Amino acid sequence: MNLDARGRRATQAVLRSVTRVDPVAGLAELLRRRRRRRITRAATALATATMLGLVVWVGVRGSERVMPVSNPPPGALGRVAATIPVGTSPVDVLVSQDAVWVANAGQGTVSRIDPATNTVTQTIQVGRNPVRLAAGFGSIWVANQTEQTLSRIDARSGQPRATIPTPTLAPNQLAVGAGSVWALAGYSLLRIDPATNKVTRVGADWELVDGGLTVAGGRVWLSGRAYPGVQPIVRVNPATNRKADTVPTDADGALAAGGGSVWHASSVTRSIHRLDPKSGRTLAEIPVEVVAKHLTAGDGSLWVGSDSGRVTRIDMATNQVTGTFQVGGRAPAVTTGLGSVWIVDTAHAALLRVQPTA
Amino acid sequence: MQTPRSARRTARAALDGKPEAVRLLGRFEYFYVEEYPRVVALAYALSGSRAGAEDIAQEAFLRAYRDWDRVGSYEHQAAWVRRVAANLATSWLRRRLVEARALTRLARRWEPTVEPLAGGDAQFWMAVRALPRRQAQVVALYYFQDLSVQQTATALGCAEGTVKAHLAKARRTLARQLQPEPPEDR
Repeated sequence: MNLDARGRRATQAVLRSVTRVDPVAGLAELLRRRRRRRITRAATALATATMLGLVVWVGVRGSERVMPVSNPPPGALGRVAATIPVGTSPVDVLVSQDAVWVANAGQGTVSRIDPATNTVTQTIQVGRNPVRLAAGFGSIWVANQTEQTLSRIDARSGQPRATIPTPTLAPNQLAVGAGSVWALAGYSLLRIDPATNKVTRVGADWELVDGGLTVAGGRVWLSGRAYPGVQPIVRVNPATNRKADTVPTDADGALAAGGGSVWHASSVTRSIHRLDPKSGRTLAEIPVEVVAKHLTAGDGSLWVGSDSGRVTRIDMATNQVTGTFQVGGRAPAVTTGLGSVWIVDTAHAALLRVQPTA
Repeated sequence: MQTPRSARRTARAALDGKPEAVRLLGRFEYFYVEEYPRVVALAYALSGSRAGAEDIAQEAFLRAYRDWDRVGSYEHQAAWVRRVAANLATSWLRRRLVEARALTRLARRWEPTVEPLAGGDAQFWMAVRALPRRQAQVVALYYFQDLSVQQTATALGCAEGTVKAHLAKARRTLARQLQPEPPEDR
């Protein structure tokens, strides 16, 4: 008997072995586990809060002084110059070609905003659930996660130029560099040739989810988690479309390149790691006290959008937090350009134009 | 075993009146009832644990449920759950947890509903479990997806070439390790 025949027979045997399994009983057990997990979480949160309270109480009594706050108070980043209503569930923003672009995940559109008037001048229909934007090659690129496509919009006219399928894979990260557009979809890295819109799937012998993607130091960087936790950064060589090496890290989140460094968010330590783009060595770890979801480099600063709605500015020259800003909703995307900071207010379906303090 | 249709009816009845269960009704419930036994089988094949297979399958479905807003919109929801189950079943840490939980259950004279495998079939899956993690996942999903490289790649979220490469290595190892079976008595 050849291997395939034997494999088929063994598969049939294992499928027969579960004939007594009762999905309904399993469902009841699943509900029980959900309840148990909720109780465990609540107990863990209570224990953590008690421990923290104890630590703070001991610290205050021991030192007779209040612990310093490392983050400036909310609002220290700048003042709101304009509030611009956009589409439903805005999730990403970028500045390109003298315009500001916002991806509205809830209605499958991209808003184009004229910075001279602070108004939406175009609403462009893209695919379902657009979650990421990138600019390059005279185009705005949109990752439509649910539709499993990329939309390409002409950055000058705002007209859709192409819809590029990413077969069976849901793209959720985008980056531009090394002459290509790169998308992270499932575990796979996709490379899009801007001349032909052809998609090439780059070998994926890694398992990374919910992380980041950027291009720096002649490499494409991928980060994320896999069961059971944080995984090393994977660096892909664009010349060969193969994994070049991995970088050990205890960070797991978003990536950004700028100021001669790569920036990597850690949900574990609630900090930002500054990495050398060549060696991958950690140059600094900057505590931000939030779980960072979006990183953007610009105007000599790193801008961090976090799960709690706080936007944090880190001065690249000093690695210090120099300003924070609080918005409604979670994980606000943030970018800079045209003399302003642009922050997505997810709770109010609006884009905030913030005039940064010097 | 109940048919999927009767299981759905029973599930509805069983969940009636439970506030936390109400939100389960709908697409997740249908998906769950259709896929659950198959995912248990996959978990058994890859973990080798009769007692832990249901545990792994439930964990995979729990994650799907928790993320149903996202997972429910996928074209290949079943592939997603199988991938999670395959990852859980081949995780060393997870195996230890599953075994510990199974021992607790066995101590309470709990009887697993998964029947044991025997002879050549048990030997086949034992050899698969001895493969490197990724190769074991590829082989199991390949046979569970009826020898489709494309569907296996979809389930694992990787390229077909990657699946083929893992499959080729795994086949060489399996061919070495699996002894030819004696002809069956007629």
